[in-house]
Amino acid sequence: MQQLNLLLVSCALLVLLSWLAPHRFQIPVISIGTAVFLAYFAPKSFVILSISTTLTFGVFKLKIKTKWAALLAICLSLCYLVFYKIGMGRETLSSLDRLVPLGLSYYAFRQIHYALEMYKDKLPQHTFFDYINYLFFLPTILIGPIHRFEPFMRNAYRRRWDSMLFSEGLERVLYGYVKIVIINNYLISVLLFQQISNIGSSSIWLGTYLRVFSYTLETYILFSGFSDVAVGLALMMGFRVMENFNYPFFAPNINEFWNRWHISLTSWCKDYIFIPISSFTRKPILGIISTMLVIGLWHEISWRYLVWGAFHGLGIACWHIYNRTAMAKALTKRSSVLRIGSIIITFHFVMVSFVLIREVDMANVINTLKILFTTNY
Amino acid sequence: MYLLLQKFLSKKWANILISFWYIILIFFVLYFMVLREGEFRYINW
Repeated sequence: MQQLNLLLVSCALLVLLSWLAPHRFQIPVISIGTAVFLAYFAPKSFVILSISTTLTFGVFKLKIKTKWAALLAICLSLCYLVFYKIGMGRETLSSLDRLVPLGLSYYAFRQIHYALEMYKDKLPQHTFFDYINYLFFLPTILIGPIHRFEPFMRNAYRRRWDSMLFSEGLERVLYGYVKIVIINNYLISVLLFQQISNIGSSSIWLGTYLRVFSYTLETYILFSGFSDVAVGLALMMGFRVMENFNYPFFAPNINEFWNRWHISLTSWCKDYIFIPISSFTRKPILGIISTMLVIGLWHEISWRYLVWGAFHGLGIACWHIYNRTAMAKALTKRSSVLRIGSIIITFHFVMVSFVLIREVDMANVINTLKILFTTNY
Repeated sequence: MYLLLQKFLSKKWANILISFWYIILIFFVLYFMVLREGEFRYINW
């Protein structure tokens, strides 16, 4: 929360400066402001980001084939991503600096996206400063979304003062804060927690169910609240970045859920993992499983996230197999009662998956699942 | 939300309602962030 407030105040200052500066300096003001923010609050991260930005751009200026340059840039981004995700060197970082490597996940994926688009030769003419502006963009640096280079550049060149966009941004920031402060910090963390404590003493099953329900809800509300603030701040600066959520808990199946949950990450993985693997191997199921494993490992390189990714991957694969059957085709034409039923089933599937990543250790995971799936409690 | 309100109400009433809505939200955000605990609970400069 402190980091969010810090981000909000810094962005508010940047919004003011970026609109008051002469037109040609407006975008550089945002990048310089972001660099100053990082250099002051997280110097080590600032150094890592600056070096990786220079190198991932620089390799494409070397006299080597674009294929090798892209491979070098991808390896470089993956190296520091894996280094931090595994946790090496974490002890040397301060409490705020430790948060910024979280941003590195977004940053690294943006750099890989850039390298792959350069390889495909799909990017328009741009300079090193365009690339810096894209990567040093404060609203999205800490909490995403993983926006794309080409729309960002188009936005940067067409950017004009628009009061409607600015007020839309303010509204999004306000809704983000409502989600975080009122819904999560009060309704879920205080009120619901009290109810769970009361119920937990009388019924273990209901208490456990409500606890899992509350942290599933909490994860969504917090993450979508942070995304709202990030998207809102970007809008206030005159940039429309990618949305991250589209009512995921109303998804009628797990495939649709992933089209609505963390959209910027799933669309990234769809473009750069699912499509290449499924077209190369002609096995879409393999593509789905690989994509979900990468999504799991992107969050954290650990066994629990690997299992979490595999669980979702298998869920989507099963849904695809089921979707080809005659029964699925017959049922999709039926009433809205079935749709509501499928929404509830999907939500519970996601809820069970959150047990894997939100419980403290494997013993707790097994214990929680045992309580939820047996009738003895 | 403002555009949605304008579809059903006159501009004047849409302005009044949306302002009222924002004031309520801002009040509750500030209330839960600051006033409820009698201190700047989440803001530690």
